[in-house]
Amino acid sequence: MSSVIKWILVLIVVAGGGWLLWYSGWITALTGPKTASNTVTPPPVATTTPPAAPAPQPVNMNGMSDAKDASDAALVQDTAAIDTQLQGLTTDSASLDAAITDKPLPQAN
Amino acid sequence: MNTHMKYTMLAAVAMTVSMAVPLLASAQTVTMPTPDAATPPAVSAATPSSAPRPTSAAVTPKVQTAIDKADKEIDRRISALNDLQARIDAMQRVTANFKQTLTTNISNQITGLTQLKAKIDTDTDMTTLKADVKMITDSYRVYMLVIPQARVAASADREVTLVTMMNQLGAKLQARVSAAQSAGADVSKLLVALTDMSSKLSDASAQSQASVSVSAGLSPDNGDATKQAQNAAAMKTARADLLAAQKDLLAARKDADTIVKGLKSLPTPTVSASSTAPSTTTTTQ
Repeated sequence: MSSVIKWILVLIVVAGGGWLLWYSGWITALTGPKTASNTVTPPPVATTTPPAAPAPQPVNMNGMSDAKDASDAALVQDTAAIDTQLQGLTTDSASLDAAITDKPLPQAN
Repeated sequence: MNTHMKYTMLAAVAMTVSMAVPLLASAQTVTMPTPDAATPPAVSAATPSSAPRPTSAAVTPKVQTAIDKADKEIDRRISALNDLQARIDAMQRVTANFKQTLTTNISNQITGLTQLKAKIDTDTDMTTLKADVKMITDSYRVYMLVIPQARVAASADREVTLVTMMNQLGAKLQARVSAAQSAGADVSKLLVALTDMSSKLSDASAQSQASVSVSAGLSPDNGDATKQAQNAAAMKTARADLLAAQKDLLAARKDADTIVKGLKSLPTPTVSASSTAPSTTTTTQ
């Protein structure tokens, strides 16, 4: 048997042994990519990052609801806001009346 | 013309200029005056620090009584000016420049009155005191114009704000009524109310503007009886305009209430068994 044939047989034996090891899982366990089954997932780390800020809401005038919201709740909110301003108008009117009819306190002669 | 009168007239002219500007944001075409033009009646005599108040024993009861009356009137005006300032701060429909002008004028008035009060508190003789008290009387003509003018502006500002808010509500009500109408509901009464609401709001806006127009250009009468009568008449007209606008706003509010209640009372549309029309989404509540 020539030496060449001997080397071929050795390579076949070595390759076959390697295949057996791979097939049985030894090589995979030692060098192969880690799978979900054999990795330890670290516990979630609590972070101090606040939750994402809500999208900025449009500024509604004097308690009015969103201009595009015509729901019942929005109508109730709007009428309440209007009533508040109407009360303020009553106060304004009273203040104006008081200003128009104002009289100075008499001073010493 | 004595110094006191000069200062009083100067303040009067300055106030007139400062008030003769468009008050509402929708009319900002006139150049705003410089705020520091409004100078209150100045205290020309010695400052209190150079003339410390003597002991009470050095002031006669008559002088003390006059001082007390003067202080009371000054305190009353300062209180009114502070209240007015708070209201001006809350105004929404005027320009920032105009608000600043009013603020500066009021601040100057308060400063002048405060200095005058300090001066009066140091007076020990009736002659000096009478001259200082006269400044209170003279400055009243300015005060009596500035306060109502600013109050008219504040009321008009509120009314224009309300018109804006009610117009926004009106648009929503109109959308709801239209939806109900599309769904087959009888909304004829609601449409009448909507039309009336729109009309009332339009008139309220016009009346509010008129109240400002008639009062903003007034100037202190400085003792002129004719001018005094004209100012009084103009202020009365402005007041009537504001009241008319307020009445419109209340009527519009009532219309809105009618519409809201009407929407709630609309029957839920039903689809008959024989109907082939697609089912509709109810707009009633």
